[in-house]
Amino acid sequence: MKIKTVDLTRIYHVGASKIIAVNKSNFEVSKSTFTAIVGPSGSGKSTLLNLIGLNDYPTAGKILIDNTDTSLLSGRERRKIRLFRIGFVFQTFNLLATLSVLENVELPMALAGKPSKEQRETAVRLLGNVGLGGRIHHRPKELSVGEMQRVAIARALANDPEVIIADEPTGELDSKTAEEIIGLLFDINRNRKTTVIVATHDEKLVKVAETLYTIRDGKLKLKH
Amino acid sequence: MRLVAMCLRNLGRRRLRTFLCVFGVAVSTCFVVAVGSTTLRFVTIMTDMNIFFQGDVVVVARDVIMIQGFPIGGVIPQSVVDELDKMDCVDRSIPVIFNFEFHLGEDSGVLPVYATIGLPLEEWSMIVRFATLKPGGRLPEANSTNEVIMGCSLAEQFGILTGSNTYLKGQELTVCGIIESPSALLGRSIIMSLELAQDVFNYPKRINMAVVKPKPSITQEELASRIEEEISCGMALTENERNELIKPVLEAVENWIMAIQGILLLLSLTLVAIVGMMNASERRRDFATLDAIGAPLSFVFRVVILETSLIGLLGGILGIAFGALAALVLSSLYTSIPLVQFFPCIFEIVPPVYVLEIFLAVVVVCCVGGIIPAINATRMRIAEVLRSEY
Repeated sequence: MKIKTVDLTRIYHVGASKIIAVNKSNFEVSKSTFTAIVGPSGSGKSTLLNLIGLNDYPTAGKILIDNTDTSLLSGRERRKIRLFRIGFVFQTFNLLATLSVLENVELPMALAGKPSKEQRETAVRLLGNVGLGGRIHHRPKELSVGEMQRVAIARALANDPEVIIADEPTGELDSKTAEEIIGLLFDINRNRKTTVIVATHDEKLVKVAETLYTIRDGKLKLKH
Repeated sequence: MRLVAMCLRNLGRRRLRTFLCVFGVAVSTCFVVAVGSTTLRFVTIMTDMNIFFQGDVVVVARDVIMIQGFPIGGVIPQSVVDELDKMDCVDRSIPVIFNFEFHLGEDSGVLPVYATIGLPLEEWSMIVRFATLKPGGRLPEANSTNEVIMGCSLAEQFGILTGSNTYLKGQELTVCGIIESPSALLGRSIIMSLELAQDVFNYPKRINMAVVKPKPSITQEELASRIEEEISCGMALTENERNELIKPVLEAVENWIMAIQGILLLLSLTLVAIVGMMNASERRRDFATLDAIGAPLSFVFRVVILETSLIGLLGGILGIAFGALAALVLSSLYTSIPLVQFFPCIFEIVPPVYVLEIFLAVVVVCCVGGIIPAINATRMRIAEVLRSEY
């Protein structure tokens, strides 16, 4: 999957004031690359990820996915892309508290209409891959934050997406756990050839990235 | 099934709120079932009374209150029957004493506790054809002065068997037969000869109704109008007129009950909608996450609707169980008939079709109550919710 933005702008209106979260940003990721976006809090990283993850609509500019202008897509088509082609990893994991670890990972596959047996087998395999094979029947609240982030990564991989978008995936983690999660994302990128886009403060994540963007006050710059 | 399990777990997250909501729906349902069943039973009994005297004209005292074919109070002289028999349009007329009793010992019921019917022995078939005698029983003999037959419900309540003696207004009577009948009136009646009834109620040469059978060529309307021209002390009512007298009362009762049921269901809907809104607003992040991972809007919609429907399902089941019990208690309270006597005929008091209708109505109402919360849940803006919920 190739993602490109052209003069992407997102403006929020809070009361009478206008906040330019993303300002005419041009961004491009190629297939199977590991891209990091670095910037301080409030610089517009999450907004940019939400835009390219089709969770939000730009105020101006374009988002092209495989050269298709996403502004021309219907809500249903955008949802389909989110379900089948993009996996999202949130900073605060966003696991559904009433579902078990296994059910959380099965959920995207159930939504995609995959057979129950396939859902179960894939979820067990993915949880095994992230080192949680022995905790599949636990509830999220019974896990450590590192384990919760692993479940979130397994969930993001459930429908074998072409892109993983991770919004500060190590933001809530201690340094040792953060290292493990970085390793996991790196392995996914290398072994599965999945494109990884990460917004982060984490220097270690920046080091493994092939492409690095910096963002400040909504303005995006390609570093390398 | 997995979706149902997920929704049940979601409801379980706020146990007290869910319990209170289910309780509220159950209380409404209980009230609807209890009051509705009791009223329905009352209306059915009233309507059933119309099976008596079909095709006949009934003559009663002027301005007396009538329930279908039967008057409450009012007396006319027995000589009216002789006058009626002399009329060329009358085939024959039958004198009847009919009395609703609202007291049983020291207990006083809102509804009649039992009825006494007195009529000439040769005309018993007019009433008794709607019933069968229990084995060993018989109709009173022509020369007897104290034999009666009794409805099975009344006999069961007081442990009276065929051949037992009982007292009515201080007079000793022998029960020579017990009748079984689907008619609630006959089940709670003591039926005796006209002379015995006049003696018991101290109505010498008086009756409170005459059933007049028209000659084949005469319509009820013609007969009634002729009777009213010639008989000054009474009014003659055709079958249609008798039905018309009770119709507004029954309609008013049914309308009131429908209004009460409507209000209670509306309250349930409001309660479920409020709880649904609270649940949806608390789980904004869950819904936004579902949206972000590509869940179709219909999935989120179904989750919310299913949750409110489950509240309706649980509330409906509990409400029906307690409502059925309450209907039996109400029937017992208003008739002074012991509660245990109602248990075997619970499906007569609380008809299964009515219960099913109420149950479906409650589930549908709760389902509808979930529509606004479900629409709210599907209208969330993912990015805004995710940002604000961090």
